[in-house]
Amino acid sequence: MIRKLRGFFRELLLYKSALAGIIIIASLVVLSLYAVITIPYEEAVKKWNSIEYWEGLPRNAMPSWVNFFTRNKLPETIILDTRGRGENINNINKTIVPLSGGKYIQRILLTFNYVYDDFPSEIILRIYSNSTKQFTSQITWVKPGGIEYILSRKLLRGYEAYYVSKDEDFLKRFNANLISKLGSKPSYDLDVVIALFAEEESSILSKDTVKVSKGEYKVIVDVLIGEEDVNKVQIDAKLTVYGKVYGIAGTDHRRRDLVLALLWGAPIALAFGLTASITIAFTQMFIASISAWYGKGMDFSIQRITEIFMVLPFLPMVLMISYFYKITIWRLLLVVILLSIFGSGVKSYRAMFLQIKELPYIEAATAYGASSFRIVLRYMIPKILPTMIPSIVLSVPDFVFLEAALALLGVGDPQAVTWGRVLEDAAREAALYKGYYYWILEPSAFLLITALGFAMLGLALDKIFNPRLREM
Amino acid sequence: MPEPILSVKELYLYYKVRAGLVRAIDGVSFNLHNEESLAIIGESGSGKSSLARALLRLLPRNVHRFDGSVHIDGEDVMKLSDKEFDSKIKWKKISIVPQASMNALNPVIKIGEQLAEPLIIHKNMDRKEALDKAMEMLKFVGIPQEFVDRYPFELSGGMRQRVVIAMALITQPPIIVLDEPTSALDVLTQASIMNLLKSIKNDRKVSYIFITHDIALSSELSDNVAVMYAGRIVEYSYADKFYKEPQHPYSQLLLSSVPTLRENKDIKFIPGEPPSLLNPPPGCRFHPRCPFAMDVCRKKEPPTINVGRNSYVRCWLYAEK
Amino acid sequence: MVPNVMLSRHRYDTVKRLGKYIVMRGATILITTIIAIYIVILVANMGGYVDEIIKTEIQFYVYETIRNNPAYKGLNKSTIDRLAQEMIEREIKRLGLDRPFIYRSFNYLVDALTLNLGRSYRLTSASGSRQVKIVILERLPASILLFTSIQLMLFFSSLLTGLYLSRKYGSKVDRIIVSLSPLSSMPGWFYGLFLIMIFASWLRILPYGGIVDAPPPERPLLYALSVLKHMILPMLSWFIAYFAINTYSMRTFFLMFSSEDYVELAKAKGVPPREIERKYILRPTLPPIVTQLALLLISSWMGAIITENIFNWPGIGSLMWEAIANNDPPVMIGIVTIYAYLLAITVLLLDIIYALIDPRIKIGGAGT
Repeated sequence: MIRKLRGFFRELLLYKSALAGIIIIASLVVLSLYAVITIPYEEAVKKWNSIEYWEGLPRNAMPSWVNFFTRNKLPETIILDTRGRGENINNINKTIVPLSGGKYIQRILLTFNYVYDDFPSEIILRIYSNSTKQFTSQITWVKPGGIEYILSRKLLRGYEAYYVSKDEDFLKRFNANLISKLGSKPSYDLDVVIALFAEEESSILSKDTVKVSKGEYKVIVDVLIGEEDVNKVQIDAKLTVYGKVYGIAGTDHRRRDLVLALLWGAPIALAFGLTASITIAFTQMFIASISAWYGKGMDFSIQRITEIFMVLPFLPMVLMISYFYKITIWRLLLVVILLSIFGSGVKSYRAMFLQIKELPYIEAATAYGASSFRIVLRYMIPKILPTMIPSIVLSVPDFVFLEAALALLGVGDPQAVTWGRVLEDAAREAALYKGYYYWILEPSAFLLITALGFAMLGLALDKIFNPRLREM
Repeated sequence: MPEPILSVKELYLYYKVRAGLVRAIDGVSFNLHNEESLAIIGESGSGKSSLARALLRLLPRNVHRFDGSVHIDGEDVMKLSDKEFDSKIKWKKISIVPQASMNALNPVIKIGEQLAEPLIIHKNMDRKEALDKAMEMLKFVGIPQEFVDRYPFELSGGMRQRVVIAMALITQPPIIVLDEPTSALDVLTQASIMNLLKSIKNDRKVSYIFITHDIALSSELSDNVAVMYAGRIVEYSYADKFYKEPQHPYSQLLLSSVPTLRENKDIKFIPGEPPSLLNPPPGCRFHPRCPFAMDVCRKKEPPTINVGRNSYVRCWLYAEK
Repeated sequence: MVPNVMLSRHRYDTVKRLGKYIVMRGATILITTIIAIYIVILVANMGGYVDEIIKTEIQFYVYETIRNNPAYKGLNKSTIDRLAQEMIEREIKRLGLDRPFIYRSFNYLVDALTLNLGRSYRLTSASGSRQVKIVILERLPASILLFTSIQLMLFFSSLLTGLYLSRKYGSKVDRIIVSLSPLSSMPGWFYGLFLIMIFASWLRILPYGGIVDAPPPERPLLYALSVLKHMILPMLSWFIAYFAINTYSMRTFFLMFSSEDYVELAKAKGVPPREIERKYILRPTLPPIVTQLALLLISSWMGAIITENIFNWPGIGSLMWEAIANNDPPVMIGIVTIYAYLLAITVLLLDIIYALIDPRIKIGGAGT
């Protein structure tokens, strides 16, 4: 038995495609195991569907290795947090400045170095206070070279989030300032980020020539407090200058690191595909064996049922059910299986069984009184098993793509963390129009590789197990 | 001695399979005269079917070597192109009755059409004339004439084989190759087919190459006998002599393994298994199974040794020092 | 030639047998179709659940209308409630929702079978009609145009290539096609995504989707050309996906049939190769090939839902999708019914044609 297996493997490996297929599938399995071990399923789902968890990541960021290939270096995210949760603790300074009249200013100075060639995507400043009293705060922005802008004044009570990059007021002021300084309007619509980071000379007027001002930037948060609060009130600030690249895979529109979905997509795809494929094949085979062995009435009814299922349109039925019942991915699996078990495979297995039934040794077995169960199980089914293996392997990609297709159409499990889901998000957010190619390419690449792996292995297996194809 | 109608000299046919090179025909020579029936006997895998089909240039895929000389009616047909061979030799000079299979006839075309086909192709007859001849031929082989409109599946195995024989005869080629013509038939049908073949030979003056593994059967329809082993002819003799005094050890074992009705003889069988055509044994190919194997047999291939009028054998036992 | 009496007796038997065969098959297919359609009705209506959804929506809609209608301002609550009830009941009656679902399901079944497809709940055709028949018929041509072209293109290209390859078994071309077959593990729509990315998004030479430019050209020739331009990417995506595997199976198919004994004998007889291909290879294989084509064509008219979605193709596939997304069972059932009928008729026709061309069935198992 072992020797047979060894001989079989040796023959299989003669085909280079089989080898490639096995390597791919093995890598996917390793990837899946890694995903399952490092981040358990519920945690992955929770993280994927949360918003706070991804707060510090930029939206729609490309993978950071893109910077290897471009001359213009895209920015990474810079976070300065007075609560000590960032790296640049040295660039954070807190002081208290006394004013006249018993008032004080708690001043937070955040400094960072900006060396990238492109503008950040977003800027958000969060200010925290541990008191329920309301304070006024003022935020100042200092560009390299000393150009200062007072961005805004905000009322702070407990927590205030200042979406700097959406500050239209500041933008108006800046534009007016620019016109008076340079004498003409920019030929395009500036946004706040450009305003805060661009070189303020003639190059800023055209979208093609606008340059990033590289150097040291300062953000000053001044909060006005009374004497009584000086030692009691603590003000903290967190500045997030969102970059345009992140991580190995980039992020999506909800700031989520795509690596999580790409990683977890693997075990789900494998589980879904393999379960569907194996269950359906074996059930179909079993039904066919009963149909062929018992014949007459049983055969007739099973054949009619099969024909009914073949008339029913598969995809619309799955769509209808998943749409109406809002199902999870595992119930979807069940539905797909139930709808497929009386499919056309039953007819072809039955034809094979009918041929086997006529073989002399089956007749012999009946003659010496073997029970139907025994004959079917021990004599007929083992003959069919070899031909089933290639078709099981070959049909795995179909199911993986089915799940992806359902997700794409919007009827998949809305909580699921699969490649199909990523594709659907991308499609819905018009990633192609907006040029976020990586968002579509990454899940597609995984789908593609998975499909190719199983297909190559399956076709090689087909050549081995299908005797007629062998030495023709 | 008049000229032989078929003369084969040093015919070789090797072809490639995944596992290596198959030496199906490994230096075969023989002659066939007018109105002669030559039986070629051998086990499965001895190359006899390859020989039969090679005579009609029905070659396997991946041919590695196919050469030698084959003269039919004086003409060296190996020199002809495929197209020339198709139009000048096939069914005009030589035809074949293939192994009796359920599948030799096209299932979706009527019998009459299939019978008439060679006439239309080779004798330039028009359809009506050809169909008439087809019906005559059906009658000749003992099938009711209305079957000309039937389909192959409507006939029994024996009837189908008769049709195939009729098809091989219809253009009146001088040589007919019979490749195990009765092996898939039951004994009674077999007997009637053999009778048909005999009457055809007497009637139409054709030459047969009768290929079979059934020695008893071969004795019914042979003037000369050639024994094939591992792609070679190891003994060639005229029938009377062969069945009484076979020379080659293999032939002797073959004949003694045939059970007889009247004698109470010891049934011998031939030990070992048929040789692989991929990796034939060195020296004499039969030596692993030969009861008389000598040292030289294991090393050198035996030459062709004349042992009488028109008979030769390839065996070291007969080599004079 | 052959005695006439025997011929006509033979013919009569054949006709009788054929007739019985056709009737039996017809009846079986009809029953199968009926049951299948009924199941779809049940699922499409979710066993009555859709009704609940619709009733709730009617309530909501009625109250909204009343609130927004100035004529009803100032009425007290009970009057409003009574008014609302009336309107709701009227609406329910209009849609026929007042009777229990089980009874209605059989009515639906009978309607569907007689192709009385009724009116849709929500969707309307471009011409404004709510008649399901019109809604469907309006979208059918687009699917037929696209998918018939695709299937015919695939069929003929793979047939001819497969036939050619079966002759040249083991050659370089053969091995190239075989090595390309893993491409078919991915569905056509998947390649569609990439093709759109390359040709529409990046190169900008082909449209993103739809069937015709917007605004559509006036002259018929230009209109047709525009449609053709929009068909390029969908057809290409299916070609890439399915050409290799179809050719591979055609080639295998022809290879198996080329090694049949009767083909060997025909070669021995010196039959010219062209004729061997025609009479000995194609003719026996024609029935299964034609069946395959016919069934493929029929199923393709359902319009591949996903492909139509991705390419924004206004056909039956995307209509089905809209019907599902908009909770519109009459349209869903209408589409499935038409499809089931087409399938049933095709299967029956094929069975008849098979019986006529394959002499083994025509004459029945005598002597087999």
